[in-house]
This record gives sequence, C-alpha cells and structure tokens, in this order.
Amino acid sequence: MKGLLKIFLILFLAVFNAGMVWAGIFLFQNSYYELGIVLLTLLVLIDYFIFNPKAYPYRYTIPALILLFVLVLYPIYFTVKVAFTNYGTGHLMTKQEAIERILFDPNYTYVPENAEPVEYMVFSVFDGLNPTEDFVVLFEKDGNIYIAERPVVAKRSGKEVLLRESTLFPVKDGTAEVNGKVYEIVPWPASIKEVNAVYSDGKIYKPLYSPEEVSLKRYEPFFKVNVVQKYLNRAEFWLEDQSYMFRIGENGEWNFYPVKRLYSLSFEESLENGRITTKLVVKNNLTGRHLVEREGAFYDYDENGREFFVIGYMEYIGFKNFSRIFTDPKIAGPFFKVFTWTFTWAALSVLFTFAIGLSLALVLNDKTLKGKNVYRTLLIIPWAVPAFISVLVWRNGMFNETYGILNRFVLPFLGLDPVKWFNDPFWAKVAVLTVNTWLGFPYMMAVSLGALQSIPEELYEAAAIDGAGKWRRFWTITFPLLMTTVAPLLVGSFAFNFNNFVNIYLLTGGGPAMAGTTTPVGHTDILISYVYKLAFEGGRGQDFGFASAISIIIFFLVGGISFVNFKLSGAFEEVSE
Amino acid sequence: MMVRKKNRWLTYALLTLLVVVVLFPIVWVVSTSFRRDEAAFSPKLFSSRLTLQHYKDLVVPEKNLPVLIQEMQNLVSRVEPFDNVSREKADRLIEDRIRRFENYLAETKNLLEDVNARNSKIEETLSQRFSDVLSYTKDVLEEAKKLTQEQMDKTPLPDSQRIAVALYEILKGKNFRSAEFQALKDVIEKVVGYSVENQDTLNDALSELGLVYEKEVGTFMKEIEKLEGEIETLQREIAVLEKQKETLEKEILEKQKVLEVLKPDIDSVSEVLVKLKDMVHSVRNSKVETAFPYEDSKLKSSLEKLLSELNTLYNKISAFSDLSDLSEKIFAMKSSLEEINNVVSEDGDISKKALYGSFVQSFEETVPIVEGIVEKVSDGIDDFVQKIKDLKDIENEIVVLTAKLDGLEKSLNNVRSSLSEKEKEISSAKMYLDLKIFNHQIQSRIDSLEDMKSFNSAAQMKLLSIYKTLKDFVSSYVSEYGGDDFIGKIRKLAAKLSWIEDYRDLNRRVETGYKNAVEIVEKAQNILDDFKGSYSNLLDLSFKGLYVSSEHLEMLYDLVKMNFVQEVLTNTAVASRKAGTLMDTIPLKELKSDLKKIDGDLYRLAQIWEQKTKHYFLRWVMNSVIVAGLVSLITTAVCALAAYPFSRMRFWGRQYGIMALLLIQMFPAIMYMVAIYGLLKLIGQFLPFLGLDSLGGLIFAYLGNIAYNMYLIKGFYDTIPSSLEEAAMIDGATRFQTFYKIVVPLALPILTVIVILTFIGTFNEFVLARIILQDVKNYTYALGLWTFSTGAYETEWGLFTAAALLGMTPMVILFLSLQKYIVGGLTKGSVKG
Repeated sequence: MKGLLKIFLILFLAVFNAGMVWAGIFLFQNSYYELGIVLLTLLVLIDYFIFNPKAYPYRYTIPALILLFVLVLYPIYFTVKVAFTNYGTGHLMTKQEAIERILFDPNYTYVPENAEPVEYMVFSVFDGLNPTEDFVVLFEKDGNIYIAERPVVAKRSGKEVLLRESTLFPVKDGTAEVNGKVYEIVPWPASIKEVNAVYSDGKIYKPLYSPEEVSLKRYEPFFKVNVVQKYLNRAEFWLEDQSYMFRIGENGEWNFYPVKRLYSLSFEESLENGRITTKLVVKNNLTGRHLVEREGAFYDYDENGREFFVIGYMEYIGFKNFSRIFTDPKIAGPFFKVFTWTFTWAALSVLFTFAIGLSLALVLNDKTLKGKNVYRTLLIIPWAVPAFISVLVWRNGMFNETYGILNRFVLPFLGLDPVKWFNDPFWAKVAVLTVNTWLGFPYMMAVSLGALQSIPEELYEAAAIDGAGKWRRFWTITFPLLMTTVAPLLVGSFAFNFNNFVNIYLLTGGGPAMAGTTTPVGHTDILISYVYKLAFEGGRGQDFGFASAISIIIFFLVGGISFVNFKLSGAFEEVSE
Repeated sequence: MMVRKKNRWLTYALLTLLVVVVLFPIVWVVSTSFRRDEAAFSPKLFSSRLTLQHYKDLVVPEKNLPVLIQEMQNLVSRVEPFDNVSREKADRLIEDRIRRFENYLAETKNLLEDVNARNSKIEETLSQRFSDVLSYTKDVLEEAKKLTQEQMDKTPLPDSQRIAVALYEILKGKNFRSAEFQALKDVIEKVVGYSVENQDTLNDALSELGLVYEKEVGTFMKEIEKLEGEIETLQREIAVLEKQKETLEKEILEKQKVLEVLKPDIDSVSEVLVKLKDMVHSVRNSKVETAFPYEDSKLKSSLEKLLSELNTLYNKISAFSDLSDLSEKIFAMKSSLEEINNVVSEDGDISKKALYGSFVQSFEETVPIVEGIVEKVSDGIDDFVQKIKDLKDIENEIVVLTAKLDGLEKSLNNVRSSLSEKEKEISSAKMYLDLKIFNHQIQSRIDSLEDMKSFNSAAQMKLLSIYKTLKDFVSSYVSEYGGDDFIGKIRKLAAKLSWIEDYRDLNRRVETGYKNAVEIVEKAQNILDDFKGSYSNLLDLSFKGLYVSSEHLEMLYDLVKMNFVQEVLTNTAVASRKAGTLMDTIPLKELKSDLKKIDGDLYRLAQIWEQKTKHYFLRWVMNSVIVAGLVSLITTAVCALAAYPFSRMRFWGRQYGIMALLLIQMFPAIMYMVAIYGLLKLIGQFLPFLGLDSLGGLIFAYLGNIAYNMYLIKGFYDTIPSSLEEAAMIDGATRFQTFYKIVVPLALPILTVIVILTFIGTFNEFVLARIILQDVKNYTYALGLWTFSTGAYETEWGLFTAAALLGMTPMVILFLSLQKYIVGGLTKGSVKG
C-alpha cells in the first residue's frame, strides 16, 4: 500500500512540476515577468524540500510557503518594482503593448474624406421565428455583390478581443466560394434588397437587418446586441487592399465605411556621435508627422499644431517617485502634514485607550466590587462589535452634521452650538480620535486586567506595612510590573493604529480635503489611507507608482518600530530553544 | 488591606454612567432598527412608532403588488427567471400570483375601511366631547395669560418719554377700532392725560405722541437720511472723476506711443547731424582753399535758431524721467549742433575752405528735416505735459473728496450707533406694550371660546387661529427680543394647541387618500378581471415564440406605480406622520390608540403598494459565512502544519524565521491589492471560479494571513512537552504521525481559538472584498452593509441598523464567550487549556 502511495505521490509531483513550468513559461510569454519568477522560485524550493532528505522540516511549510509566495511575496515584489515606474492611469501597458494598441486597435482608424458608406445586409439562420448568431454579411459596391462570413478573432490582448477579421469575396453568377464553402444567392441576379435567401451547406440564411429595410426593423434590437456588439464592432472586412469597418456616420446611422489605419511604424535616421542611427518611430498616416515620445506617453499634433495625449505606457522612472515627495512642493507639504498626523494619531490613540483602559482595569480589579464581571462584559462590547459597523454607526448616527445625535440632541442639551464634525479639520480629528478611543479602550482594559492579576498580592501588603500610600504603591509596584507585560502590546497597538485604515477611511474618508494640492489628501488622512486614495481613487488618474513608493516607506517605518519592539521585549529569545 | 467602604456608591454610580455613555451608540442602533418613522428627520430621540418591518424586509421580504405584477409580466413574456417553465407550470404560477394580488386588494380594502372608520370616530369623539376640548384650550390660554401677566409685573414701568415713543411706533396708522388700540387704551390715556373716545381724539393724541417721537427718534432718522444722501452724491462725484482719470490715463499712454514712434526718426536725424559734424571737422582740417568764400550768414542764423529750439525742447523733456532716453537723444542732437556751431563761429577761415560750400549745402538741406522733427516732438511734449498736469489735478481732487467721504461715513456711523442705543432703550418699553397687547388678545380669545358650541368647521378655524396667534407672537417676540425663559414657556403652551392644525391636515389627507384609493382599487380589480380572461391566449402566443406582453399588466403597473403613489401614498404618508405627532398632542388622550392604529394601517398600506429595492441580505450573510468559514479552516490547517517544525526541529532559519515573517507581513496590505487584483484577473481568465468577482477568488485572496497565526500556534506547541512524541517515535511512529496523532489533538484549544478569530476577522473584512467583488449578489455581509450607508440615496437608517444588528449579534456573542482565551493568548502567546 505504501509503495502505491509513493508512486502516486511521485506521479503527482511530476504533473505538478510540469504544470508549474508550463505556467511559468506562459506567464513570461504574456509579460507577467514577476509572477513567473515567483512561481519558478517556488517550484525550485518545493522540489528541493521534497527531494532533499535533510530538508525534512521544510516540508511541513510547503502549503504555507505556496500561500506566502503567491499572496505575500509576489505582491511585495510587484509593489517594489512598481514603485520605480509610473504605473497608473494612462500608463498601464508596456511600451510594446501600447504600440501594438495604436497600430492595430480599430479605434485608431479614420474614415477618409468623401468616403461613401457601403450598402449591406446581414443574413442569419433562423430558429423558428427567432434569429441566431450564425450570420453572413452581403455588401453591394459599384454594382457588385460581395459576401463575407462572420468575422473571426485576429488579435487578442489576454481575454480582450482587439480585432476580428473577415474577407469579402465577390459573388459571380449567384455563387461564391468562401473558405471552402459554397454560398448560393437566391434569386440571381439581384441587388441586395431583392435577395431572399443565401444557401450554404444545408443552411438557409434569411434577411436579418439592413439600415434601409423597414420590414426588418423588429430585428434591430437583436442585431444591435448580438451581432454588432459581439462581432461587428471591432471587425475589419477586407476587400482586396481596403478594409471596411462598422462606423456611425454623419447621419447617425451605422454603416460600413472604408477605413485606414491612423498610425504605422516608420524609421527615423539621426546623427549621433558621428554615426547614423535608425530609430523606430510611430507615424501618423494622415499628417505624416512622427509621434513624440515623452515621459512615458505618445503625443500627436492636432489641427492647431498643439500636442495631445495618444496613449501612455509604463516605464521606469527610477527614484523619481521617492524624490517627488521632497521636491514637488504641492506634494511635499501635504505629505509631511500627513506624516506628522499619522504619528500623532497613533500616539494619541495609544495614550487615550491605555489611560482609560488602565483606569478601568484598576477599578475593576477589586475583588470586592459587586457585579464586576457584568461591568467588564458590558464595557468590552465596543471591542466585540465589528469595527466597520461601529464606525458607520458613529459616522451616520452620531457625528452626522445635520441629523446626528450629537448635533441634534446632545449639544443643544448642553447649550452648545452644533459642530461641523466633518468639515472642520480640527473637529474631524477630534471625531476620529474619539471613535478610535471608544473602539480601543476595551482591549487595553482587558489586557491590563490580565496583567494586573498576575501581580502578587504580597508586594502590596509589604508596601502597605512599610507605610506606602496608594499612589506610591501604584507608581513603584503596579506600573513597572504592568509595563513589562504590556509594553510590547502598546508598541503593537501603535503599529496597528499607524496603519489603521478602516477607522479613518470609513469615518471621514480622510477628512476635509486639503486645499491646493494635486493629490487627494485630507486633513485626517494617515499615510495608509493616503496611499489607498492615490492608488485607487485618484481623481486625475490613479498613480500606483507613487502609492507603491509611499507604501515602501510605511513598511520601513512600521517594520522598524516592530523590530525594535521585538528586540526590546526579548521575543527573539523565546524562539531559540 | 484597607477597608474602603465610603467610596463605593460613587464608584458604582460612575461605572454605571460610563457604561451608559459607552453603550449609547449600541442602544441607538437597536432602537433605530425598530422605528417606523424616518429617524433622520424626527425630532425625538426615541420613538413610540415601532415596527418590525425592517427586519422583515431583510430576512423575509414579501412579494408585494409591484413585484407580483412584474412576475406575472415575466411569466407571460417568458423572460428570466421564467424562460424555461412549462405551460402548465406557467398557468399555475400566474393563477397563484393573481390570487395573491386579490388577497392584497382585499387587505387594502380592509385597511382603508378601518382607517376611515377610525377617522370618523375621532371626529365624532371630538364633537361629543367638545366641551372638554374647549376647557383644555381655555386652560392653556389662562396659563398663557397668567404667564404674561407675571412677565408684565416683572417688567418695570418705563418712563413716559419712552412709552410715548413706543406707543407712537405701535399705534401709528392704526385706527380706533383696532385691537392694538383697545389693548393700549388706558396706557395712551394716561400718557396724554385725557380720555380717547373716538377717532378724532385718537388722532390728536397720536400727533402729540408724534412730536415726542420726532424729538427722540425722528431727528436721528432725518439726520441719517441726510447723511446718506450726501454720501451718495459724493460717491457719484468720485465715480465721475475716476472715469475721467481713466480716460486721461489712456490718452497719456497714447501720447507716449506717439513719442515712441518718433524715436527712429530722431535717431536717423541724429546720425545725419553726427555726419555733418564730422564733415565740418574735416572741412576745417582741409587745406584747399577757394577764392570765393561761401556765404554762410544764413547758415549761422539757422544754426542759432535750431540750437535755441533744441535747448528749449531739451529743457522741457529733461523734466520727465520717463522720457530720459528721448532727452538723451535730443541732447546728442544738441551737442552735435553745438559743436558745428562752435567750429563755424570760431574759425573765421573756414568760409575760405573749398569744401565749405558743400557742407553748407548739405546743412541747409538738413535744416527743414530737423526743424520738422523738433516741431513734432515739441507738440507731442506740450500735449504730454498738459495731460500729466490734468491727471495730477484730478488725483488731488479725488483724494480730497475721499477724505470728505470718510468723514461723512464716520458721522453716519456715529448717528447710527446713537440711534440703536436709543432704540434699545425704547425696546423695553415696547416689550411692555407688546405684552399688554398679547394679554388683551388672549383675553378676547378666551371670551370667544364661549361662543363655540360644536366642533364644526367654523369652530375648527377659530381654534386654528388661536393657535396661530400664539405661534405668531412667539416668533415676532423672538425676532425682536431674542429668546428667554418666558417665551420658551409660551412656546411650549403654543405647541399644546398645535394639534388642531395637524388634525385638520390628517382629516383632509385621510379623506382624499381614502377616496382615491377606493377608486384605484376598483379599477385594479376590473383590470385584473380582464387579465384573468386574457392571459391564457397570451401564454399560447408566447409559447409559440412570439414576444408578448400584457397591456392589462402594464396598465396595472401604471396604476400601482404612478396613480396610487401620487394620489394616495402622498396623502397617506403625510397623514401617517401627522397621526404620529397627534398621538402626543391631542387633548383627548383616549383617542391615542385610534391614532396609533391609523398610523399602523397606513404604514401597512404603503408596504403593500410601494415598490421596494431588492435586498440580498440573506445571500450576503451566506456568502460571508462560506468565505469566512473556508478561510478560517484552511488558514488554521496550513499554519498548524507550518508552525510545527519551528517548535520541534532544528533547521536553518528557525531562530528568526517567524519573526522575519511577522515583519514581512507588516507591509501595508492595501498595496497588495493592486498585485492581487491583477493576479485574480489573470487567473479568472482560465479558472473563472477563482477570478475576480467570485467568492473563490475572495477566499484565495484572504489566505495570506499566515505569520501571526503561526506565531501563536508555535507558542502553544512550545508548551506541549516533546516527551510524548519521543515516546511515540521510539514505538515506531513517524514524525508526521506524531504530529497529527498527538500534537494536533493537544493543540485543539489554540486551533479552535484561531479558527474562530480568523472567522470573525474575515467576516468583518471589507476593503479587499470591495475591490474584488462587483456583482451585488456576490457581496459579503460587510460589503453589503457598507453600501447601505453610502448608497445613492440618503441612508435608510431603519434598514441599516436592523442589518447591522442582525449581523453583529452573533459575532459579539461569539467574541464575548471567548474573551478569556483571546486575552490570554495576547499576553502570553499561549493558552493554558
């Protein structure tokens, strides 16, 4: 039995290896370089662990390792790499992809002046009364009739279809041969409008749609949804050297127009260092001008000679994202404000929650207090309630400037004016700190209670006998002993709040926006919410590159703090047994 | 240990207060989830209009009328989700829907009848017990009168000057019969010293008072008017001057331009003069002489003339520093000419030189040109100078006028402040008088109550106007004198009488709504009957492949969505609100239950007819449970496996491995999302169930939380003595067998805690879910709840809090039952079984 299991395992490994290698190659081919490298590294490690007897301990870590590599290391690697690029809105493709896009994407074509639309009619096979998606297209040009089959995919970008193609064949004597199949037009001779059906291979194609044909109007919805959007929209029909595409004309009707590509490759020769070098450039076919390449994008000239953005691509910009933090005044100012506020926020959060939590723990630590368990359970509830619910309740129910409980009932009751919680930078900070304290003090209370209970009673008694008062006992006995247990947790809490995205983002969305900045920054933004907004909510485009750069900085900060924390709490000692 | 008994009560009290404050938001959530009214707009913190409707909407949404119609339409047209039913099933389903529809219609009729009946009952009761209503009103009015009298007694009687002015302000323009006069008759008589019995004496009295008014206040007003007039005139004058200044400035600029244009000409002339100067020098130095000396007296006189003209010009220009380069040029010309002059006049022999003739000729050709230039420049300069002088004059005048304006404005301010001080003094007198008038008004109202016999329309109007009197007094008092205790009490009294307004509104709305609703129900029934007859044919056609839709259903849909909403629901919504308010304010307290029932009935009516947005609440919870469950199980299993070697074996990386992992995982998770988004997109192209917008993809994305769990588990493993495994291995077990047969069972406590903690954490996660999930049906609970509160419309608080409560209660209970373990784990990294 064991032998069978072993054979099965080896087979499984073989398949696994083959699969991973194939996946790696596939990824490289599709320019997912980072993922490919990660996968192959993982494969090497796994194989090493399995086949090397000395690597026995590592085998246990294999499932965790897979998850770690794919879900943690790969994103970090990716982010670090992106931090050195300008990846973001307008710069999402590689240069290769960008060039391919403007050369081949049907969007980058133009209809020459005085181009006449071509008369056409689409025929499809009917299932009873309902049309299907099996169709052919008949063109009529210069008195001749041409037939084309349903266009097939010619260019893909991943799952997205960039281009479909179909060739037009002339119909002679009522028949045409297309890709080995014979199509018969009935009746013949006829103009497009007189054609009743197209026969082929046992199938009958009946008229489905033509722009002028009133009797076919009821199929228009089907035509639009199932034929145009799926097949005709990005399709080129070739007749000899001219391609035709489905476009909307000046009269608002959709027709086939002859089109030409707007851009093509061309050479440019220049003199550099005494040598002639040729460079590949992209040329605008209408104007003949070369596109300008600059800052990760291609620019073309419009009729007035002004430059406009054509397409962007991702490119390496080195440390520019990092230096931008210091050199761009519109970014440096807000960045440092956010930076300082993040530290303030984390520190104050820890301070307030600990102060309140500790006080409560001291009060509740009394064995003779009646109902102390009840109080403790009730006071822990804010910690138990899911944070996002609490924050949403605080935001909509309590702090809402018009309908919130605070502004409507509590403040008037105390004789105070309503406060602009979310529009005043100071009060927004107050609100955010209040909610965070509310959410966090139970944790501190519970932890302090646990730590207090581990302090032996005899110490207090001895001190009391020696004449120490309550405060003295607290500061010299309780506090130091408490700190040894709790200090790592305080630092941990600082690190946690440093990156406490949920509380800030859900409550104020970063707070009242700072005026005069180019990035979406608010007064209550902390570094991590700033990063999120940059990466996912940039009003003028998302800037992943910059966001990644800041993430790296955050990582070093928080990692540094935690590292120091570990060292101080001697956590490293525990591991080495 | 010291005995501390005395602080106890304080401690308990403080603790209880703290608990109340801390738990207040939770309490608010609970109470809001039951509220029927729109919590956002209600003036009350807690409401008695309660309902379970929100919970029903979330958990067992009912198919009300719009939904039924839509379903029937979909059945007839064979649209999703009914596109594949068989003919018999379609028949059955339609019949079922029709039946339900008729049930709703019946229920609607019942509700309408009930509302109508209660409304009539309220009216009858009010009529029967009208005397109670009257006495209630009378009590309120008496109370108000008492308060007013007290307030008047408290106010010291102002001196006669002030009273006179205040009287004048109030009574000016009022005639003998007016209520204000009647109220103040005795006061005015006391002031003027004679009785006022008719319009004429009143006019006399008023004119006397008018004199006093004039003296005290009137003069100020006149002064203010005068000053304002003067200020206006001055301002206009200044504006005119400013405009002139503008024109002048433009002209000056033009002149400068003209002078600029002349510069090149001056330059060329200057060059010519320089050449002439050189020429004269070379002539002087030449040796050849002629026999016929050239006549140069004309030359000399031209020279002199030119020189003097240039000098004058130069003097004019050099006064202006803007024209310095022009003056330099003129100076250059001047010096060239001067040199020529010197040469010509000192050297007497020069006229004997042969070349002298051509020099003289050239010079004489140049003279007119130079003269021309000089003239042009001179004219230009003169003009220029004049304009600059004009500008200076205007500017000075503006300054003077502005100073005067300032002075006037200061005086105006002074007068104004004196006036407002005066008015402050008057206002206390005015208040006294206003109170007296009000008192009088109340009394007349009390008297009018005697005339009211029955609760008919006229009586209602009278009650309404009584209420309005009080309300208007309150608002005018507050706007003039600000708020204080007295008016606050009056306001409360006025509120007591507000019921009549609400009641009339309620009555009207109920009647209109009822009438319209009955009509619509009738119409609906007719259309439904027609539909019953026709749907069979429609189904036949539909099953043959034609796309059909029922006109009857469309008419029904319009009826429900438009007619009912506009003609009935708008009325019943208002009626419902009014009923709610009336429950507290209506004088006859036994009507409270009827009003409550009306409110409830109308609410139910709306629930039947109103179209509601579809919620996928249960689906969301299920999604969350699946995702959180799978994630917690998989993560725990993987971490349990991976933590084992760190605790039991020796290998490279053992010492710092977990710490390194912990540090690495400090990387802000937000940034993972870009990479993970791309990753899921890629995977989704080949394995759709693991791609974007799928639960599989979400589960996969959540599995990255390894480091911290490994740390905790490893800590726990450390507390299990390894002797057990060693014994087992001596008996022949493999390492792996000791792991899953011995260690894992012993570690169940920590593993359970980790499963549950991970479950709770995943259940509450929403950032990653928001990015990955798109279709609303795939949302997790956390994400769905978030959309409730940030949707396109104002938050529906009732739904939101109900959903929040439903979701968080299990989590809270789970958490509370585990708090001991969690805290223990956090402080020690291990849990003692």
